Amino acid sequence: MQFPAALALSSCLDIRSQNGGPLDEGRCEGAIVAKRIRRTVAANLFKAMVLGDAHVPGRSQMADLDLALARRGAMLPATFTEST
Amino acid sequence: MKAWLDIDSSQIPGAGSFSKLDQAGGSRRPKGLEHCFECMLHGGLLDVMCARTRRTGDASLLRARAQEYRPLTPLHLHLDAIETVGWTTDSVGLSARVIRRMAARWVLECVHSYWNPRTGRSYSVRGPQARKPGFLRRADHWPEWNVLGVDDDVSVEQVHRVMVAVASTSVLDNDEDLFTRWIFDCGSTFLATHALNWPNHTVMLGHRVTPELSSLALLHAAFIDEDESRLEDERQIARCVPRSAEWDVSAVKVRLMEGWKRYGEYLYSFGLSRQVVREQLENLELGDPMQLVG
Repeated sequence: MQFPAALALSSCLDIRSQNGGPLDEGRCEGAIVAKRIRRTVAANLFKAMVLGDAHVPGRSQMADLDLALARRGAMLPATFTEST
Repeated sequence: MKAWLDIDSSQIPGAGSFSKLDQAGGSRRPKGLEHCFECMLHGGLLDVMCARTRRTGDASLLRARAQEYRPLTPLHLHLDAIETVGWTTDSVGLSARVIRRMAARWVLECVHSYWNPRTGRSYSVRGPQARKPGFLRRADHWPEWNVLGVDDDVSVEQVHRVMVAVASTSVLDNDEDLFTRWIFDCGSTFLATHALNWPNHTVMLGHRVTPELSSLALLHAAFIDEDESRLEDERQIARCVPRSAEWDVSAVKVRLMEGWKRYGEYLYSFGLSRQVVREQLENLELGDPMQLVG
């Protein structure tokens, strides 16, 4: 199974900290950091996949995603706005 | 509460949010990737290996579990490699080092199965050529490994030599998917080889500067270094060429520099950076300090 390259580059949405610094403050177990890396990649990949070129300037990404999913007859998972 | 989808958000969603991603985005994914997110988040190599068991301290169980694991994409394997190189946690009755080496070896096995000179699937021809008998396809497209100085039966632990040598051939040309796979697999190979050999890499790799060691240093320069300056020096690449082998050193330089650039772009698009990957390496080096053998 090949990685769909186009998905990865269709968006440059960034959920890193604003200063571009490390994901975690201080040092913690590699396994915990690895889980955060996985979630970060999944979140960005999902956004790239669903949003594609659907973003309209001035509209929030949440609204973009809602509309993009609605067009496909899908719904945003209820827990989607949960934050860590 | 701030929504994680807002572009200025520095937060990432909680684990619970992801359980339905596969359902929500289902129709957009290519066939075979229906469980892409589930596998990415909860079904990684180390999750599978270290799943709860009553057979604690049983290394053969972990090995068997690893051998049953198949990464869905090179990206999934790359995440496994990143996790492996930062692994410093004892689990299921085994030391972190034993688990890390076992996982690293399986990552290398996965790369080896795709790129090895004898049976590597990456050299299969696609399109009309694919209808030719196997031995003709091989003659048309297979790299001349003897010219490159790579043995057909190169070992799993030395697959990094293959990954660098491939850059001297035209195998990667005109196939974007294969080039993307090569980028991720090169990165995974470096991380897994480091995880396998640390903390006594001088014992595992030797003290002398050999083409093998130079190949590993080159992968570090291409996928870990923050700038591409070490790739600009062709002497660095020439050190990877085995005695009496012939490489197109300039072509290797061009492909590695393109790989360096694209890897950074991929990481950026995923919300990561080389710094994040380096921190996993540092985590290993602090958690399991290097052993100096006299």
